[in-house]
Amino acid sequence: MKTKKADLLDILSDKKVLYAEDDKGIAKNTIEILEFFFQKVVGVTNGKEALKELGNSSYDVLIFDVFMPELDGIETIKKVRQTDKKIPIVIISAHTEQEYLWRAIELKITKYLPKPCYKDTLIKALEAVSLELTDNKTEIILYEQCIYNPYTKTIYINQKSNKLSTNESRLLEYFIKHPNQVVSYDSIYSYIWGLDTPSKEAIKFIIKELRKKIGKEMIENVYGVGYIFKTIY
Amino acid sequence: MFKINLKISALFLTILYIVMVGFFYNFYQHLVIKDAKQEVVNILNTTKTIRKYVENIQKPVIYNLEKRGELHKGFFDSRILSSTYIVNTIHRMYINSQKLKNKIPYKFKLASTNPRNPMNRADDFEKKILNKFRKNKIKEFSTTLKEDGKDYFYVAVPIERNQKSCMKCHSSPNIAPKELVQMYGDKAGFYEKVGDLRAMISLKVPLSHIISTHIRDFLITIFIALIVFIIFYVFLYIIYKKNQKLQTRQDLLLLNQNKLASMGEMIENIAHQWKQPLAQLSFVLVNMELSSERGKLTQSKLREKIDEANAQISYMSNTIDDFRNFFSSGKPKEKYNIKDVITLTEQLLSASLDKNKIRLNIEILEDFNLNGYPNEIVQALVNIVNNANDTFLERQINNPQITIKTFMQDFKKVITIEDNAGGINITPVDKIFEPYFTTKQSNSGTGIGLYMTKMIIEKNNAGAISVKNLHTGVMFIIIF
Repeated sequence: MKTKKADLLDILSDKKVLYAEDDKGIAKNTIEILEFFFQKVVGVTNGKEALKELGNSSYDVLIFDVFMPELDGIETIKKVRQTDKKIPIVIISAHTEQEYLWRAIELKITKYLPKPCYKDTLIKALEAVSLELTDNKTEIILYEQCIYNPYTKTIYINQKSNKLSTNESRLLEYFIKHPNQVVSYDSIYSYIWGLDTPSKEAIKFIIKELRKKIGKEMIENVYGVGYIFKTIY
Repeated sequence: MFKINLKISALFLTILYIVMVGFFYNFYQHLVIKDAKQEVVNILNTTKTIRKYVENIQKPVIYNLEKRGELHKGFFDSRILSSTYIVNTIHRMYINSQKLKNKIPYKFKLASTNPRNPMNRADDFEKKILNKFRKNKIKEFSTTLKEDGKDYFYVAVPIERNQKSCMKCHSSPNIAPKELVQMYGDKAGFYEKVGDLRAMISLKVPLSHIISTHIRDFLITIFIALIVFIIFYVFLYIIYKKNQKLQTRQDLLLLNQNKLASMGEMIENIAHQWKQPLAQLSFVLVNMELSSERGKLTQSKLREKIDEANAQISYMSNTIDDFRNFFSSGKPKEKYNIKDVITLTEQLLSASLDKNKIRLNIEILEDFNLNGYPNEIVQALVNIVNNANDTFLERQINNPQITIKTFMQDFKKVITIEDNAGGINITPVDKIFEPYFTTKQSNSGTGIGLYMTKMIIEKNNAGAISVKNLHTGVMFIIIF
């Protein structure tokens, strides 16, 4: 049981989370907690900063406090939902009043975590996020005889397993989310590294490694622009 | 609710009593004089009747005796033939008699412009009255007058007009009895005509005598009035005391009610102020548990987390202490610092201020110490700020701000609380300090908050509170 749960949460290990909370003490602890599960945790103290950060680089999960100065959590989420309908969002709030809960439902929130917070509820929330990130699928079939397990970050080709590195799995999951369309270099940069953009060579290296593991024909070059991830599924 | 001012009531009753006594005195005097007049007129009428008797019965008998020769010719004796002499003598006898009871000490006078006896000559005052009688202007004359510093009641009536029978002694000295002419001369009292008015008779009674006969009635009346007034005053006094007692009880009740209301709010405040530390504690625990599960709970991390938890616990404990101190009652007067009081107020209110995004500016321009009950001052300030708070919500004010200032002015210690909630649109603005007065539509306004504030400041802490409208809101001014 425990291992299974741990497996489920493994999906987060190559994910980036944006966390907004104005109380420093709570933020410090929560960031420490989230760092156990996520590859990267970025903390901001209000909604405005959160929106600014979202403009700078892309995130996989959002965790927002409701009551914040400048722009509160609910308003921030409204803005996020205007452009991104899919990203899993968790609300942490001391407000358990119905009014807030109703507003949260309208915004398609993954989980509403009450304060004070307990380990079990936190874990459940993170599991819900994991499931949502993988569309509740534990195995993704890339093509016949090639299966990707997002929890273990492993590729199975003809029963032969091959573990992906963090960057490789992140890039693959990003491609899976955007199949059969041009994925630009820029979007890859900002998804994987954020602002501190490395050289084009770094991406090319990851692509090369990934091609080795999943098959060359899956990723097609689009000269000067980026790549197309080709899949029939 | 009607209020009684004991001093003003007493003054009013006293003035009313004096006016009433004066009125009664006047009334009695009039009544008494009216009574006296009747009595005096009776005496004068009796006198006139005696004169008539002398004129019509006595004199003919004597003249008949003279005619029959039983009296010598030309006989005259004023003791039996002068009606004036006779009535004068009767009145003198009355006045001088010692044995009569309830004797009226009057002065009788017959006044004539043509008297036989010069004693009976009319003076200017009497002449005037006599002339009025002669012209038939009046039938009787009465007045009060002053003589030798004494007040008198004076009544005059005319005697019978001259008739034929009078002419024997009053027309020509030739036909008058010889002894009469010998006694009085041939001028005084002669040459009268039939139908003329020869004289009038008058009585003068000292006013003091008239009043004294009725003074007992008067005194009894004013005494009864006095008792009535005293009973009325005592009645008022009892009502006043009862009212006062009721007021004190009501005030006490209101104070408790207000305290209870603010207590409810305080509990809300505690709940709010505890939310963050409780949340943080929960995250600290989750953090420790997860770290431990992963074998990452080092000694230093454990220490750090324990310190963090302790800091939150002591913060929560302090919050509780603040509130508990505020609600402990029955404390003696103490010296306290105004800055501390305002800081505590801010702390107690921080939850609702945060919630409604109200900015509280505190400007201690001058800090000072006061003697009294600091908790009550906090309660008063909380009431004022809450009042502003409610108004902000009701009027949906943008950028709500409250400014509390302390400074010295004319050697007085001043605290002002200013808001930008738009002001009070009631005149006079002082009305907001009345109990159960509220402008709030919601049921949150009990209408006692500001009343309690005034009571606390003015009754318990010897200060003064006033309010005035500013350009953008109101300013409460508390002066110690």
